[in-house]
Amino acid sequence: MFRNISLGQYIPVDSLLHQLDPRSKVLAALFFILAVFAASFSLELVMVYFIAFFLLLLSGLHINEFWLAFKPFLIIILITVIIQLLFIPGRYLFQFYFISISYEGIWIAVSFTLRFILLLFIVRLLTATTTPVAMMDGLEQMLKPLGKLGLAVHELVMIMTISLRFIPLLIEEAHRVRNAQLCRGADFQVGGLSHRLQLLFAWLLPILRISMQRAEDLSQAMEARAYSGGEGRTRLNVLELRVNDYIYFLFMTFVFGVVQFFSF
Amino acid sequence: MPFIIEKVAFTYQKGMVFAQEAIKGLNLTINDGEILGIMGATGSGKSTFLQLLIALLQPQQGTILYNGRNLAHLKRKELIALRQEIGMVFQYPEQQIFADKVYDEIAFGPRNMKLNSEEVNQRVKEAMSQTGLDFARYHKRLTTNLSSGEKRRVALASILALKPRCLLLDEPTAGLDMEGRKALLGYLKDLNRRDNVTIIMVTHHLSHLLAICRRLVVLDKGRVLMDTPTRQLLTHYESLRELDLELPAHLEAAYHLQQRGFSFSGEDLSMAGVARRIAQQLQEP
Repeated sequence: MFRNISLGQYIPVDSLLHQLDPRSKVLAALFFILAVFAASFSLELVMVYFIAFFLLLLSGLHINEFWLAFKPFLIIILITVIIQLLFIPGRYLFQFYFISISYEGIWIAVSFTLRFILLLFIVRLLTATTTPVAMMDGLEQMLKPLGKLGLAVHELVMIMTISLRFIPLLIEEAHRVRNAQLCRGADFQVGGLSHRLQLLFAWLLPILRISMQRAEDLSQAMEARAYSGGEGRTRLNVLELRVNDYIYFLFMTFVFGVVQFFSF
Repeated sequence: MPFIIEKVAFTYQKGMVFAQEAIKGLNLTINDGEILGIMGATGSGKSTFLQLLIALLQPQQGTILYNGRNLAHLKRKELIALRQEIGMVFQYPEQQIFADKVYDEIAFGPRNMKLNSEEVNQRVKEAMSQTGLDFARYHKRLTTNLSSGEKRRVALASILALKPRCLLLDEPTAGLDMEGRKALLGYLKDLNRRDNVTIIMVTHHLSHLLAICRRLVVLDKGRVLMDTPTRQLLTHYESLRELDLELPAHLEAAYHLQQRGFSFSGEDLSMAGVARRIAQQLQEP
């Protein structure tokens, strides 16, 4: 059954962004990230936020999906913000024993948080609008030139695709084994180190064995269907760049250019 | 009365694109010492239902009472105690075996209960005899060297060692050969008769249920569609067919014979029971 794995999950909605070529989306995301870093903390960042909002509308996704992806990172953001507030020197807003907060610290903490949110946003947008398979197809196409240098691009990408594909299954498996042990009176929250290690071992071992078995089954299933690597392999859905793809990609380079221009 | 389930609803990934309503407005009372079979097509909410009963999932609406206690209000300690009282055997439990030796695997639960080694030993012995595993022969065997039927028995024994008052089983007969299946159903029946353990068993093989269950509940789209004593199953023949549930051949035969004047009312509808009844009525002049 489904668990709360939302970070990398593809969300099937019919939208303009969903229809784009993965290559254009990956490159555009790259330029978006460059723009986020190039933007100084002022009007440019506001502009990037407007662009993000525009992309959100284009994607046809609900803002909740992004919030779910954002939630696990809250604690990281919080810790970073606290450290920045406490340790960045400058003109002090107030001082109290060892606590001293400067204007510069606040400035940096806020600008860091705003950028971090944008980064999470674009990564989530990419994974929510692009299936893992399409993403890997795109990656394979983009890395193809490296194949001339002797890199086994297809195999590499295939390994990545399979790994990605199996993460949810692995999580589900881990849940199942854990549930089964909860039902046998295992208490993961108490006990000394050796007791906990024992429980951890009892948890990991079945997962490992099941994964090995699954890998074995998968390789046999692939061989049974005459899979023999990338050479001479054709594909059902050939990736094709259309007008929209060029527009999207050029638009994002333009955004980056504008931000870069103004921050000089 | 162990379980009283009222208007329970559960949705996976509630409020998201992938939201899946598994259980909606389910009402059911499960009595002490009952052997209850739960059937339903894939996605009818069977497995979710079992996980709700043992509080691995909490209902988003409605209440589940076990011996008068609301499962949603239990503290962590009480939950652990509850899970010793209610045993759950997951699908393919043999995949979750982790110990080297059969003994250690079965002793995992009792040791978690902090019993002393003598009591643990006692429990392991008892659980092994309940599942037809000869203690002297098996307790030192490596779990990796067991056949899948033996592994299944070890997995079941490892739950029985907790001495549950109530046993939940998710597809216990899946992947077992006929012999293994017969033996397993036999252990369950004994357990119920001797120790009055309540057994709630989910499967989509009606014939396996008919062998031991006295009551059958059919789930459809997260609701109770049918709740009937197994002996009266033939009266529900039409609606069972509509659900695309596979009926065992002997039930089909019994149904059609009933149309031609045979009577099976109030009869044990296991294969042996039906055969006996047909033979009986053929002898009558």
